[in-house]
Amino acid sequence: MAISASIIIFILVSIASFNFYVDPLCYFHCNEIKINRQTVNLYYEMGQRILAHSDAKIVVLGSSRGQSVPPKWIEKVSGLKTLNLSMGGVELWTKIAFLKLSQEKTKIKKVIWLADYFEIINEIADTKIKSTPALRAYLPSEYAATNLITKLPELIDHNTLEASFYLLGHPQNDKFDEGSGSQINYEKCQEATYQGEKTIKELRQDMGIIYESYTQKVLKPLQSEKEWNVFENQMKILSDQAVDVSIVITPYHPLFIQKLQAQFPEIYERHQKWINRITSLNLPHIKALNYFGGLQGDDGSPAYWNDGVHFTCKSAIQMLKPLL
Amino acid sequence: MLFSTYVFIFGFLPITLLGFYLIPMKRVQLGFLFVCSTVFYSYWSFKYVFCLLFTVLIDFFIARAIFNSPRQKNRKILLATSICANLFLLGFFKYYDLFSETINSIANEVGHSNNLLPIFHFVLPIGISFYTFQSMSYVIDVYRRHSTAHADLLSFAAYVTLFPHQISGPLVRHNNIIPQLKNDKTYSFHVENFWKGFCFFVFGLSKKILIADLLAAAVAPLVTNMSLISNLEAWLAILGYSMQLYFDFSGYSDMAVGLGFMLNIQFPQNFNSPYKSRSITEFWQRWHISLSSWLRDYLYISLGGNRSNGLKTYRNLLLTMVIGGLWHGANWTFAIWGLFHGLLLSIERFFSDAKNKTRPRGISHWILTFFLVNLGWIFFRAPQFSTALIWLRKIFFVTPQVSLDLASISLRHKDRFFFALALSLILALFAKNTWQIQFRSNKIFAVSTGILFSICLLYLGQESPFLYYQF
Repeated sequence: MAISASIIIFILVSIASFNFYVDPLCYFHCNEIKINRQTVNLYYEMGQRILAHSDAKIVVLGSSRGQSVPPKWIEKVSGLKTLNLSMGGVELWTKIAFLKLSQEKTKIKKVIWLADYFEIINEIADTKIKSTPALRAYLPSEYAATNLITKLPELIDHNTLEASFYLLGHPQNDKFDEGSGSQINYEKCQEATYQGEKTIKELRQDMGIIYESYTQKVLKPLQSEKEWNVFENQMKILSDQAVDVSIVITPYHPLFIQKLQAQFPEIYERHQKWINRITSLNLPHIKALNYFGGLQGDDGSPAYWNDGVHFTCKSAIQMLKPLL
Repeated sequence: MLFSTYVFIFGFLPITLLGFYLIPMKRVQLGFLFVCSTVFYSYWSFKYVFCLLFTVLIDFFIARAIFNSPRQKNRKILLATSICANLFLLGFFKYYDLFSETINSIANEVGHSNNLLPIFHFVLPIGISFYTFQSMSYVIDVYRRHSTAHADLLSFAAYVTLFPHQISGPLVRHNNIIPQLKNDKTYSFHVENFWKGFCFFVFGLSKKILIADLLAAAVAPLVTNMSLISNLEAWLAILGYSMQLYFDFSGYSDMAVGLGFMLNIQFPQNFNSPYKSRSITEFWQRWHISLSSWLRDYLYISLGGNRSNGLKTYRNLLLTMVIGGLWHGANWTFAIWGLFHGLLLSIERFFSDAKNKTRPRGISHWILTFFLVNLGWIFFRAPQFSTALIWLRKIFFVTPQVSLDLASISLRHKDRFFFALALSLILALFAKNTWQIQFRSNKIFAVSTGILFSICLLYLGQESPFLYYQF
């Protein structure tokens, strides 16, 4: 028993010490955003990106569903430097944190807010942002509170270990692109012959998986009145600051929506109520665009969709054209 | 609280073990164990702990009343009360929605547009299928005079709620556990038991984290997209699921047994290399042994067992297996799975009765048994009957096109899936099971176990519930 216990302690302490020293996720040694800090923490990187592009005038805030929005296309059409701060799983408070950081470091004129139903539920799944000290200042105190005990599992997690090795082997440069979607060839997206990145079979398979995940987990919880008030309040602040905000209610795939309406009518109804609340926001500088009923010309093909909820760049451009 | 989480391994378990062994008085130790087990349950849901305590109280007092009652009529009434109370609790939370959905579906078929019965989408109290059966078995044994009402309330409460087996078994018997809880030796630390328990726990954790979860990541999307996957992928899905289920559940059982040993309590073996079976009868002597023996002793025998003429025996067998199938979940696919096994058991029984002796079974029997068990898992896993039918068509290549591509398994999971599948098949079909391993106290074994445990701890970050939690 003693030998086993010694081995376990030795291995865990070694790994924890190594991970603490490298700190690939910036949980322990980063109290502020610094451009030259090496990290694989995508939230911290987003902060670095904001610092690196202090001349940005437009920010796009969204979840993974916003990652197909090409910021370079928005820049070309509007003439204004654009950052796409969309990230997978991002909810209300993360968007607000990025927004606050952007307003602190740049002179934002316009915000494109890609609204997600799940951003108004009463849970923060974004544990990484809560654990990132440099971004905690932009979260409400009750969400930002963490202590060593909650961070300890990260020190012995295999993902952190892999991240540490990765970081040591791949030093990152301090050049930051304009965020999600920067690598998208937006001209190709706009071609009539654009067919998307997936085959029809792949699209159908991925639709099946995401439908299961969304209906059983992501869309199941009820929205929170408290979080709605936070959202509404944030819109009022932006309105008072004369920042133009376009709240875009993005669609789901036509077959996804059809199935949702038939099999989960209560979830569909909740979406409708939420959309009504957004479109009823009557604030100066705040505009809502509702595409939940579908996009014109959307044939449900891989040209428009990557799966049941993630649209392609072609759809993104079509949605955002009227705004710019 | 899952066994495979940091909060359990570094929080709950050390506190419970330290408290248990440091408290000097036996009754207080037992009380502490009961409190810890209740806290363990409450971690999932505080309000449903009252269902658990209700079961404990009602069955304890009914068993005592049965034992003290001389009149057979009163004894029967009390037994019926216990069974009705337990089955009502189980039936209400677990089967009401299945029942109402079925009635509403039939009503819709005959022209009713509205639902006849409301559907409530109850949250199933965790472990209810296990603790109601465990508690009932005590009452039934007292009624049958197979046991006295030997438990005091604290021992009985501790037996039913004991945290290692509380959520997903093994289904332990009172005459196995309560004497151990009354034995003074249970309350002193024994390093050999602790070491054995630790080894069981580590092996169980490895099965879950390093094999079952790797398989699950690839199998789940294959089942979700059953209509789109290839025939080869359908085969991989069923093999993957067979191994996932075995390593997940036997892993959990090993961990439960290990925790029991750490408390000087021996739980029964629940899995004995079931995929090495050479007949379905043998399979049920090796798979989820605690459940199959419970069903045999309290359902099959109560129905008459094999005491009456041939047809009734087969009826009893079929009924027992169908009910056993439904015990696993509120879905008709589980009933079909149970019926499938019931039919196979009946066929085997018929032929063994006819021949009047059993012949040694060879490799062909092993392959056939493994194949049939895998076929059964299709109904066990498929969320709907239609998915099961598609799956079967693909397995038997009765599809418009036969495809052998592997495009549906994501690249991210492919290598890990094949590695885990190969390893799991080798271990399940050829290697010793945990109960057959000699847990030596030498340095090499200690170092290996320590390294294995450390690797498991690195992978604990993603919470992944055990499959049998849903039952």
